[in-house]
Amino acid sequence: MATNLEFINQTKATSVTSLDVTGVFTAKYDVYQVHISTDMDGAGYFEIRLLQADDSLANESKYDIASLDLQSNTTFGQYKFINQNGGVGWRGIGGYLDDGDGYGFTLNVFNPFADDKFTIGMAQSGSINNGNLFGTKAIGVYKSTQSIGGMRVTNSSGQTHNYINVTTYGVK
Amino acid sequence: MSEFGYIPEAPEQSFGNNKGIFTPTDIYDLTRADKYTQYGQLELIETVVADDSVAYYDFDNLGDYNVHFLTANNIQGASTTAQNLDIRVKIGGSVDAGANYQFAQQLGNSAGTFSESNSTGFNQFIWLPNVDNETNASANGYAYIYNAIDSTKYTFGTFQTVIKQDVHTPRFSFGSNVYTTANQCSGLRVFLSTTGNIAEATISLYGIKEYS
Repeated sequence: MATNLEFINQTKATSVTSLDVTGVFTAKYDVYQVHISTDMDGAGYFEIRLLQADDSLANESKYDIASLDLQSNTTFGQYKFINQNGGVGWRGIGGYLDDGDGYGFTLNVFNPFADDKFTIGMAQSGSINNGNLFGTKAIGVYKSTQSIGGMRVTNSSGQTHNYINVTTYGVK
Repeated sequence: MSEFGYIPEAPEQSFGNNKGIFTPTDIYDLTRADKYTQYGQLELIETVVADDSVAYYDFDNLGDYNVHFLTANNIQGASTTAQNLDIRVKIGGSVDAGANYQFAQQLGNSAGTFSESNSTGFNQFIWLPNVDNETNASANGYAYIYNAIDSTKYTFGTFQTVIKQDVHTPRFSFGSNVYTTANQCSGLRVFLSTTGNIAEATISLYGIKEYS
């Protein structure tokens, strides 16, 4: 089976605290790959909250997250939460940001649009925290069969992102 | 008749929204303008196949991609001593081998040994550890590189590998890297970090195409 990425959408914003990416998950694909670049001078955890197919927040308290925080200057940490609410979502799935030096993040999403399956994410990232590398290898599961159409990219502390660029691909 | 078979004027064209009848010239022009829908956004830039003649390969065409994807298939090093296949950025054509890199990686194997390693002052992106050329040995993996062409941001990387050495149980690694200088990279060097040539390898660099 040939496999490839098929561009769906790029959503951009500058000087915002969050960005909604809507209508990117559809019945056309089961698996998606999302690349996010951003920049934030203040400190906070990177968050992804899922949006339902009607663009409303996926608000059930069924977000699970587990991340191994790979730090260049200290012993690795863990970020984990069971049954997080929709107002927080997958907090920590892309680590911790500050310093305004850029960011790299890749998320693979499985079965978001299906209304009979949970939505599952696998992520890896690199960012800078207080001058040191803060990487992650993380999973997130939204233990709901709500049909998911998009995502909200934001952070845990209401900081302003200098920019957010979200590029979504379908995995053929 | 105007462009694309429309009278009196053609509609605006964009990726995912092409209307009309297209001549080969139209397709060529629209493709160059990033306005023609061609699915397949994982775009191969270059593949190198090692033949035991050199210790490194330079990928000097990064295109205009914000995200790059590297694959390493069946890597075998210079000897039975474990070596690393790592990455350095090139700035203005020159390799930066200074202590301008940081990394953090998790290692593990099927015998149950897990460990972590990190550094805030390293001389390269780490990628594939424990590369050697024992019988049936093979190292494989991938890496994403972010912001390499952005002169205002650090260059980040993430990676995952699986390695089989003949005398050891299978092992994995994954982690993150950063090049802590805001600079536009002109290329990437994939190299064996100890003396000797890369005996076998297929290494590919892809760009992940975006449309704004």
